[in-house]
Amino acid sequence: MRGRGVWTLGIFLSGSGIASAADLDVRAAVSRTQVRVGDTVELSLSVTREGRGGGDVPEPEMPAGVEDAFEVANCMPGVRRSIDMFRGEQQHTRTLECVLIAEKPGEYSLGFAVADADRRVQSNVVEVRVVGDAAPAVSSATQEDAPSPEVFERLRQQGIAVVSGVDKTTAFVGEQITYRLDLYEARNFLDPHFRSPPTFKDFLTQELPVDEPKVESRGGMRFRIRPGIRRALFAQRAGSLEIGGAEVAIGLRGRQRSEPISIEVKPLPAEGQPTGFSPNNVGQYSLRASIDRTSVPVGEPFTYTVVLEGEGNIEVVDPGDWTLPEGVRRYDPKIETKLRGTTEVGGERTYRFLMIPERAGTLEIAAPHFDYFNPARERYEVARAEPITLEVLGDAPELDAAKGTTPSAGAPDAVGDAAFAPIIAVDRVPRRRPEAPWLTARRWFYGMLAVPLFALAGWIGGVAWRRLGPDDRARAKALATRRRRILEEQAQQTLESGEGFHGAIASLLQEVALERAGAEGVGLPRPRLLDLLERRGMSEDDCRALERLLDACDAARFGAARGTASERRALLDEALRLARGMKVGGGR
Amino acid sequence: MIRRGLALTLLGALLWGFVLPASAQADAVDEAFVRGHDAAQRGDWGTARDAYEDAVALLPGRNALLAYNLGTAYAHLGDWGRATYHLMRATDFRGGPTAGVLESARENLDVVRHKIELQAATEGTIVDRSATSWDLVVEALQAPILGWLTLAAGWLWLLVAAWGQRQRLGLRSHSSRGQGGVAGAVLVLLGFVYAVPGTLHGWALRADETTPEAIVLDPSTEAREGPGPHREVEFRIQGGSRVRIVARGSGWIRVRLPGGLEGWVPERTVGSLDSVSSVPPPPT
Repeated sequence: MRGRGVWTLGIFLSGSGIASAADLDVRAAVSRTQVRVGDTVELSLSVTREGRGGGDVPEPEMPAGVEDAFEVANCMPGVRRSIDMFRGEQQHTRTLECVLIAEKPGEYSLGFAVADADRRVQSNVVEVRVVGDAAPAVSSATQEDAPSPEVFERLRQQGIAVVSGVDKTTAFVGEQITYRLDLYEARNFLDPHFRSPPTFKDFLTQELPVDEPKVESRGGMRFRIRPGIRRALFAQRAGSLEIGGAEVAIGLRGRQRSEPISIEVKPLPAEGQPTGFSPNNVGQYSLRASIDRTSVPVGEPFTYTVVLEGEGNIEVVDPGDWTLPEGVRRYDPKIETKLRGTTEVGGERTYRFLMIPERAGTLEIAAPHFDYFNPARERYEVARAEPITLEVLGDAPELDAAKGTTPSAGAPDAVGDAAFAPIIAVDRVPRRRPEAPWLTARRWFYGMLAVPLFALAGWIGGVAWRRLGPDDRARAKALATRRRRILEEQAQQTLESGEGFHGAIASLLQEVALERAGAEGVGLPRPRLLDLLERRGMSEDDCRALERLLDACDAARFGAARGTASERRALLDEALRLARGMKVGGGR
Repeated sequence: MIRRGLALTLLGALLWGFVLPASAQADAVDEAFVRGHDAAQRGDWGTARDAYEDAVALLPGRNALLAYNLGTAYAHLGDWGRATYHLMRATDFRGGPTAGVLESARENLDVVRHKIELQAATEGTIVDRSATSWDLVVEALQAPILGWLTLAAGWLWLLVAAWGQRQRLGLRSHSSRGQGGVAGAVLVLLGFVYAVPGTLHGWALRADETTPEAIVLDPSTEAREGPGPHREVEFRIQGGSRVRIVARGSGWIRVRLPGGLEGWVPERTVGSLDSVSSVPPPPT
C-alpha cells in the first residue's frame, strides 16, 4: 500500500450537530468497507426531516476531498416522502447515491454535514479501506493492454468490452500458448459475470495466476481492466484449432461475447524424431542425477534420483525407460513434481528409484537422457545427466555365483534366507510355570508412596513429643527413679559378696533423703540434713533410722566390718522400706 | 482300615486329575514342537508354523524357545509383522530365554528389521525408527531389579531417619559425632537412590502401563483418523513396526509411532507385547 492517508471528511467547525439532531436525521453509508484500487463502492447520503414540508430538507453534500481518492463515476439525487404509521407524522428525505471508483490506497473516513437554519448537522462517519497499487495518473497501458480500435469503439459506445487473446496464433503440438481474457470497463457496472466460459477443445490446459485489476487512461478515456482468465494451453493435435468465445452477463439484461480465436497448430517434425518419442515432451529441459551414498554393501538399498527441470508441460512428460546396469534390483520410482512460474509453465520433476545391488564390485549407472522438442529452435534436443559410479561392498551371493545366474527382481525376501539363525531343535519344550512377579507396578508404587507418608507421620510424632512430652521436672524425677533402681539392683547383686554393697545402700539413702529435702539439702552435713528432714515433716523415728543406717554403712565401708550376708539382707530390707516410705513422702 | 482306603482313593483321584492330564498335555506340546522342527528341516515353513502355533496354543504363558522358533518360521514365510512380534517375545525375560535363544532371536530380529525397512521404502509405508540407545535406557529403567533397589533404599532411609529421630528426642543414649556424620551420609545416599532412580523407574513403568508396547502384525496397516472403516486413511504403517497403544474403542486401537504420529487401526492388526497369551495366527 502506498501512502497511508487517513482523512476525516466532513468534520466541521464547532457548533456542528450530531447525526440525528432534533427532527433532522443525517446519514452516510457505503456498500463495502474494503475495496481494491479500481473496484467500485456505492456511497449513499441521506437527510431526513420529520413533520415539516419537504422543501425545508437540506440537500446532502458530497464529502469534501473525496475526489482526491476516488473517481466519482455516477451520482443520482432523489427525494422521497413517507408517513410514520404509528405517530402519523410525515417524513421527507433527500438522498444522493454515488458510485465511487477507488484510485488511491489508504484508509478513509467518509462523512458529511448539512446546514439547517443557524446550525450544521453532521452525519455519522463510515470507514473505507482501499488496498493495492495506486492507479497511474497517465496512461501506462502496454501494447498488450492497449485495446484494439474495435474494442475502443465498443468501450465508447457500451462502456464495457470483453477482450480475449493469445500470445501466439501459430504453435507446435505440445507447445505452450498463453490465453487471456479481460474485462475492460469505462463505466461502472454492477457485478458482471460469466454466463459461459471459453472452450478449449483439443488442448490440455493449466491455470495461471491472475493479475490485479488496474485503471488505465488512453485516448482521453479512463477505463478499468479486470483480468478474468489466464491459462496455459497445450495443443494435443495438429491442424486449425479454435478457442471458443466467452459470454459475460452485464447488469440485468446486457450480454457481451468475446470473439473466438483460431490457432494454427503445426505437427512435430518427423525429421530427427527419436523412436517412441512422446508428443508431450515439448519445451526446454535439463537433466541431472545423483545417489545418496558413494558405497553400499551388497543387499543394502540406495536411492538413485533423477531430476528433470525446465519449461513446458512437465507434469505429462514421458522420459521413457531408463536402462540400468545388471545385478541391480530396481523398484518403481516415486515421482514428485514441483511447478513454478506465472506466465510460463515449468518446474521440476523428480524420479526417486530405490535400488538394491546384488553383486559386489564397481557399479556403473549409465547417464540417463531425455529427448524433447525445443519449439524455439524447432528441433529435437537431448538432455543428459552425468553417469554415476558406485562401490558395492561384500561378496556376491554364493548360490547365484555357483549357478551363474542373474539375480532375479523378485520379492524382497528372495535375498538371504540363509541369513536367518536356524531354529533351535530340542525334543522337549522346557516348561515354565507362569508366575507373576511379586513386585508389580502397583505394589511398587504403594511401597514407594508409603515411605514419605511414614516419614511425615514420624516427623509429626516427633514434634508432638517435643511439645506434649514430659517437662524438665518430670524428666529429672524419672532420672532419679532410674538411678535409684540401679542402686537397688547393685545392692541386690552385691548382697552375697558385700563388695560395694554398703556404698550402694548409702548412695540410695542419700539420694532419697536429698529428694525429700529438696535443693536446700544439697551439700549439707548429715546432722543438718536430718534436721532439715525433720522440719520438712519426716518423723523422728525415720530420721533416727536413716541416721543409724547411714552410720552402719559408713562403719562397714570405712571400718571394713561388712557383716554376714543375713545381716546385709536385713540392712537392705530396712533401707528399702525406709526409702519407699520416704519416697512416698508421707512419712510414717 | 477304612480311613486308609479312603486316603489311597483320594490320592489316586488326585493323580488321575492332575498329573496324568498334565503329562498328556506335555506330550502333545512336545509332539507339536517336534513336528514343527521336522517340517522346518524339510523347508516346509508353513507346516512348521502351524505346528509351532499348535504348541503355543497348548502351552499357557510365555515360552522363549517356542516364541523364537515360531518367529523364525514366520520370518522364513516373509510375514515380518508376526516374525517381529514372536521374536520380540522370545527376548522377554518373562519367557525364560537362554543365552542361545537371546542371541539367535536378536540376530533374526536384525535381519527382519532390514527386510521391514526395505519393504517400507518400496511400498511407501511408514515404519518406526530403529531402536536407539535411548530405548535401551528406557528398557533398563523398567527392570524389576531397579524397582527392588529403589524400594529398599526408601525403607532403609526411613529406618535410619527414625533412628536419628530417637537420638534427637533423647529416647536413646546419645551417639558420638562420628556416628551422626555417617548416618547423615547414609541418609543422603539412600534418599538420592530413592528419589532419582525411583522417579525414573516410576516414569518408565507408567509409560509402559498407560501406553503398552505393541507390534503391527499386518504387512501394511491403514491408520485412520478415527475408529471406523469409513474414516479417512491418514497413513499406512509397515508390519513389524513398534507402536504404543494410546487408546482403545470398539474393536479399534489408537496407536502412536515413536515420532508421535497417531492413527486408529483395527485391534486385530496389532499384538501387544505385554499380554501373557500370544496373538492368534493369521486367518487362512
